[in-house]
Amino acid sequence: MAEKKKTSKSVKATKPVNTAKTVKTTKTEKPVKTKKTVRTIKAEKPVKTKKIVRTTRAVKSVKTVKETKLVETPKTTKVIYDVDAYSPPQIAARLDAVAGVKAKDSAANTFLLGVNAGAFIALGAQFATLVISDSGLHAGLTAVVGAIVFCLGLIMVVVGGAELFTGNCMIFIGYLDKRITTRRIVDHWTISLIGNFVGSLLVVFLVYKAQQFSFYDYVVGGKALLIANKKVNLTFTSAFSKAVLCNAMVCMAVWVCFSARNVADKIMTLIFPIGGFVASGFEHLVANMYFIPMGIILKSKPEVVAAAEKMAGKTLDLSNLTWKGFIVINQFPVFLGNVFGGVALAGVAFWFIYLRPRLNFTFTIKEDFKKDTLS
Amino acid sequence: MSDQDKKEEKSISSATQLANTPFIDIDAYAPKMMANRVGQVGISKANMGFLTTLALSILAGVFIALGAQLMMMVTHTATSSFGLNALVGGVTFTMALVLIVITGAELFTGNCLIAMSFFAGKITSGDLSRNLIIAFIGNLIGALSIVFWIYISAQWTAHNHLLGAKIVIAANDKVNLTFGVAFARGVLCNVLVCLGIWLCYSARNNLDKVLSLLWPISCLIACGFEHCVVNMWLIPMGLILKGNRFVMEAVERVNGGPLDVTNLTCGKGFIVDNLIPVVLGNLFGGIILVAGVYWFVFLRTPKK
Repeated sequence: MAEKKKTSKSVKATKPVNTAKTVKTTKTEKPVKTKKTVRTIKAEKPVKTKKIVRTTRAVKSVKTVKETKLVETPKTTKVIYDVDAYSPPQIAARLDAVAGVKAKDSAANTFLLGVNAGAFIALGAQFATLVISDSGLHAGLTAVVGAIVFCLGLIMVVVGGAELFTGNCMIFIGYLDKRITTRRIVDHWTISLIGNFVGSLLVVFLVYKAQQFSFYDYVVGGKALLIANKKVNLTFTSAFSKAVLCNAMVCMAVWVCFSARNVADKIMTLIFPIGGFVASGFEHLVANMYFIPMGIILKSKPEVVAAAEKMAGKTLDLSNLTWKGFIVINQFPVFLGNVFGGVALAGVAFWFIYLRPRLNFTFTIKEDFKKDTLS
Repeated sequence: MSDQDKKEEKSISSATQLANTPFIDIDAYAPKMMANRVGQVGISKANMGFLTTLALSILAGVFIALGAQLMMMVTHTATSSFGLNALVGGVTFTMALVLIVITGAELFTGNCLIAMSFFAGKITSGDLSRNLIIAFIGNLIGALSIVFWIYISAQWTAHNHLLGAKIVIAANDKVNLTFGVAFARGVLCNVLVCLGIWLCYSARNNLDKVLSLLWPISCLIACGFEHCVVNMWLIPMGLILKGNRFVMEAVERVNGGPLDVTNLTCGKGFIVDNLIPVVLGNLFGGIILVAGVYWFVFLRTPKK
């Protein structure tokens, strides 16, 4: 044990000679304002290797073990773990760069990708409706199963490429970082929102024409009607707070996805936040663009209403299930809540933590940490 | 100009240099690259020889038929609820698409994505339709061969002929759809198939591919959308089993009364009422709604 410790300590002293008192070179161009960072560290060409050199660094450290085995200078260790996933500061930087690219896309592309996103979410929503329509499991487990299948929509959005309004709240990071002008971000949000609505209505039309509501003696349609009716009978506060929570979780899902390098990572990281918000019954603006119009159309089918009443065990008051109820009672508070949740709780918070100007967060923290624990 | 420079400087300082490189260094392909990949694969698929294409498409028909019979087997006597039962059927059916994607077989519905190369002007409409027609014929041969083997194997007698009954009822439902319903279900089906395959083009390893197929494919089966190659197995199977006395007795037990199977015929029921609208819907969903849209977004040459 002791021997091992010794060797590991000697590793750090790669070039001990000239490191009597070096100012730590920070990664930013702006030379440091933190007086704390003046410290004895081996400043072995730190700058050029910082980005992608996961493997190189590992190799290098192995070599130095052999070479400098006998040198003994107690210094801080420099261990770089070779992790595939991106670290949170890198996620923030990536998100920032992607936001710049996304917002500069042409209007036609943004609109069509928005239609795609709306259609994908609607496909996920109809899948969830069908699966939970008459589950024999208890309410909680049914919600979980429905939530996992609902991930269909988000998986297609994230992997296949689409502009989902709620997820796009995250590009506010790029705006705060001055990569995007106000006009661009407003345009981008508006166009993708309209596209989402068009895409959802397209799927509502196709699913209605496919007569999915008639499955299993109209139970599927009845379930869709019940879901929609519940959503248009929320109070403003309840809809707003559910929407805030929803989009905070959607944006967290986008955030963790940006840590992933391959598709399996993306899918597995998505399932938990997305499944979580669906199972908890939070309000997603774009999903509601499928659920409620579907309910409004199905209201005119007497068989569906009968099935829904049989499932609910009472007569239903469907008076709020109209286009007016859709816009005023549901979409308006949910829109505000989603924007607040996405922009404030996810966008601004992460920007403040990782991308605040002139804060060399990563490296300062790292050195402090090592100093405290190892000395 | 100076404003621009300032902005640039600021962004570099605040996000560190990481921001400018990292999203290139990612394992999965980004949508733009996926579109390029699909375009290239489309060219090579369209230029494949006749016999190779035919053999690969027979394999695809076989795989789909195997998936369909597996789905029928696992769902035929479930006591769980309707929705969960459908979900389990969908998840098991994903086997078919996993086999197809990983072994590179030629599936008629999935091949609608080749239309991206056509829209991009890389192949002619003749190449596209040649590939689709060969794939269609091959899929039909493959599916019918599995009909033969499954029939000979007497697997449909399982569970006191309940499996056969389930197949007859499902086939009978499929031939009694109106044109509009069958068309809409065909569109939704192939949108999901093509999206599943589209997601696979983002993947570099097999786990990625399997996971990205799982959701779209289980969705289309669970939701009862119409896939023309599945129907090429299911309806002929129903046609054959219709003649079996024990199966029809089981159908009566399940249905609670005699089932009207008069429309379950080869010409009118199978081809006219089901296959034609479903194939049209599949083509529309795959070629226009998926390949067309993604071509427009990612591969179209922008006007100056």
